[in-house]
Amino acid sequence: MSEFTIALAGNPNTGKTTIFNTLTGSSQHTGNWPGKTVARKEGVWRHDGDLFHIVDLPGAYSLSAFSAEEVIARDFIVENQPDAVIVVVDATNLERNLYLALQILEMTPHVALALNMMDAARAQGLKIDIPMLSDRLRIPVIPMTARAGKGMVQLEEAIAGAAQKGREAKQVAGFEFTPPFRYSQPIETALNRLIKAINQQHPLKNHYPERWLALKLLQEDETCIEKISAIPGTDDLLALARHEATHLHSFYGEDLDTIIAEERYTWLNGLVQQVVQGRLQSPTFSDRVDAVITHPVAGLFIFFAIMWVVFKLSTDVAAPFVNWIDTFVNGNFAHWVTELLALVHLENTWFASLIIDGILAGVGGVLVFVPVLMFLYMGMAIMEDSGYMARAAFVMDRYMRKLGLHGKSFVPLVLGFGCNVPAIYATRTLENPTDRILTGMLAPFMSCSARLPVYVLIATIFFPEYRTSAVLTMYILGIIMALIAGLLLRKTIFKNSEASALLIEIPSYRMPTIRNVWTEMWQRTRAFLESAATIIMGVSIVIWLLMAIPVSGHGTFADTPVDDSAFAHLAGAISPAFEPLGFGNWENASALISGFIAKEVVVSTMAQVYHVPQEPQSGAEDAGFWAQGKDSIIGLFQATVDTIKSIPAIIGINLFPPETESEPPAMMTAIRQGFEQSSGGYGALAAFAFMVYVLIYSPCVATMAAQRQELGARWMWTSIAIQLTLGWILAFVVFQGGKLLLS
Amino acid sequence: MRSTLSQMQQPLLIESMSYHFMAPTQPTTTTKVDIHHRTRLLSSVRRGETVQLTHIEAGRRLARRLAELGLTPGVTIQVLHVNGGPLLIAVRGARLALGKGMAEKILVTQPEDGNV
Repeated sequence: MSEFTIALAGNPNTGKTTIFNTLTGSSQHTGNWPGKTVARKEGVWRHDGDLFHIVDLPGAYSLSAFSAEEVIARDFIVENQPDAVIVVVDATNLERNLYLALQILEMTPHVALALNMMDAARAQGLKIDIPMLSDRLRIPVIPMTARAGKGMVQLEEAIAGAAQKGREAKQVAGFEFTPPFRYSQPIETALNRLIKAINQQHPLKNHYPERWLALKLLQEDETCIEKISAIPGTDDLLALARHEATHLHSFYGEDLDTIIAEERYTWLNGLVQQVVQGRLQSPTFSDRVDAVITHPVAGLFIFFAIMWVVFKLSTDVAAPFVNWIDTFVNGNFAHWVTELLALVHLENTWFASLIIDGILAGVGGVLVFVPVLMFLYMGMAIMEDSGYMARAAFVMDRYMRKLGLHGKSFVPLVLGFGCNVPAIYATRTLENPTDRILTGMLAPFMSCSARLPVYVLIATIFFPEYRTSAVLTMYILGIIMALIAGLLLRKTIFKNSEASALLIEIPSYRMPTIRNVWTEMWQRTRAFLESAATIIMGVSIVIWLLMAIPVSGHGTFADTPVDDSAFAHLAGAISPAFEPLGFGNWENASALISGFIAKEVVVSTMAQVYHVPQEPQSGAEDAGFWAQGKDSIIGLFQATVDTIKSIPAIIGINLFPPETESEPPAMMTAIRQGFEQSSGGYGALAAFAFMVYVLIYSPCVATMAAQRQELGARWMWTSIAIQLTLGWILAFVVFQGGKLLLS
Repeated sequence: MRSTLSQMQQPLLIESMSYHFMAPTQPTTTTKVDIHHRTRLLSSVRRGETVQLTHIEAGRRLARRLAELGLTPGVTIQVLHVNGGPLLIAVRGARLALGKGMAEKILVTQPEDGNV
């Protein structure tokens, strides 16, 4: 048995992911490339007793180190030297796609070309002379339709063959090979001089493909020059490269990069004309559809309609599953665990409390996000897989640009209204790091669905007649704050950069495949579970500890009234900070502290600290073990039914019987009294300031975890600092300003 | 005239293309002549029109980026949609969305043979 490393390269939207998924199946694992926020996917494929590590390189149009993705792809091929590189190309777009293949052929000869989307090419009347293409490029070419699984067997054979050949060649020696394409004579002459100089440098000789290195030095590639100049004794080589570059520049009277790109394209254009019969007529069907989809007015309308559906999917449609998980974890499952603990005589101990109130509550807090995320990711995967996402960016670009954002920033921001966590993960679709960071920092200002119950509760108590307006005001205020914060950040922290100009490929429309959508959806959800679980669990345990430690009164560890716990004392210590805002009592402060973990618990914490018995969880209390298990399964079934029933609600058809909400009046009276006391008689004003603060301060631990993963710890802390200060200032203005107006 | 040649090339002449590159005499002549006649910005091209790229007036990084996406001197560009903001163009069989600011850096001219 041998082990091989295979790199999978290709432009975005070429079906590279489909091929990767088909090859590696469930053996995939995702992570990030070291020091980058670019996803790294790797998987194992077994073939004829050999083991192949398949590394999915980030999708890129070229390998000129323009973006993080390109640097990664290039470094992997040059430095890790995989046994073979499989380049996936779109058969309907050969000229542009082969550009990347040509660049890779300058790095390594051990390449196989997966000529994907042959079905689409055939449907468009294109005939491709495969043997001639293979002959001209000097590599195996495999025609295939990955989505339908056609050509996979032949591709597998080709991969195994290329890997074997690559491995053998590696053992022989060096990097000497002839790429299929040569530049015009002056460039070739300069390249030859540089190759000679490189070969005199022993440390370089077997480290880099010589012709590729010579070309990069000639193009004055920064990353390459940096690496080479770190090696002692390379000064002469670098000086020679500079000299040759200057000479060529004056000879051509154009930038050398442009000349090189032009010569490659000229060669490819000739090749494609030779190999492909029948040319695409534009406008194509896709173009005609785009006349509507990208229309300034109709396009906007369609975009909002689609976002509405995605938003509804993640809120209303996911809600029954969220409720089921909540009931299951905190009700039935907690009950089972209690019974189990009773079996080993650990009931009513601090250990039981840690398990139930600390860990299980934490796990529940993570798990309730799963349905929300899965539906959101499904919507996004469909948007991306079908090719719509690029159109959405095109339509929104002109509006977002006015706010210093990129066209693609809009999608994460809208998703933020459902849940901030996927919104932050959705910033991955932005290529430019600055755009990504800025969007990821603005997303938490979008009022997520977890904040809604807080607004509803407070508004019901204090502004029963203006409930809807009060809630709507919060949503609008969030948007305004995002606009202001965005413009401020562009003028301060991100002063020297403007939103990167729109430059994206608009792929042809394609039917999304279930397999791709599912894989995307599951992988992203898993990534969330892996990263968020630890942080949420950790914080939940810390809060539990604080609530368990008695500081005053007669309670013992894990058996103390909330008022006497360290948590209450901590809240009491923090509460003076909220005094100028009108809600500076320890009860409100503790609700805000727990709201730092998740806004979902603000209401329940208020119920707890305002001494109101909580409604019992809906899980059957005294039913037997099996009866409960049955309940859970029925519950899951019911959740699925409810989900299906809620789909028509997207277009305004409500299949649910009208609900009558009723909050326990005792709790409402207690909360009203609490606010009246803390604000010195301005209860309603303080309550409004409280709503404003809940809107703006850090949404939840999961969002922070997402920010840390996607933007890095530094930006997470910056974001938290901005949210806390901005929230405080705004609540202060609302309360004190309102007081001035009223008095 | 480099751009003209890449327009006229026949499939079987490809190998001989390199001879042309051995001695490019006056590579920028086309641009100079056109400046007085009909060179304009890609951003001013109307929907449905087909034009030919002459030059990109941008920093090195951006110029390289655009060239690698197929926007090299001499290439034909069809403007598919303009919506006041970005442009949607067809170039080398691919569809690209270009920001308005970027389209203002791209100089184009009428295609030399009139119909492409």
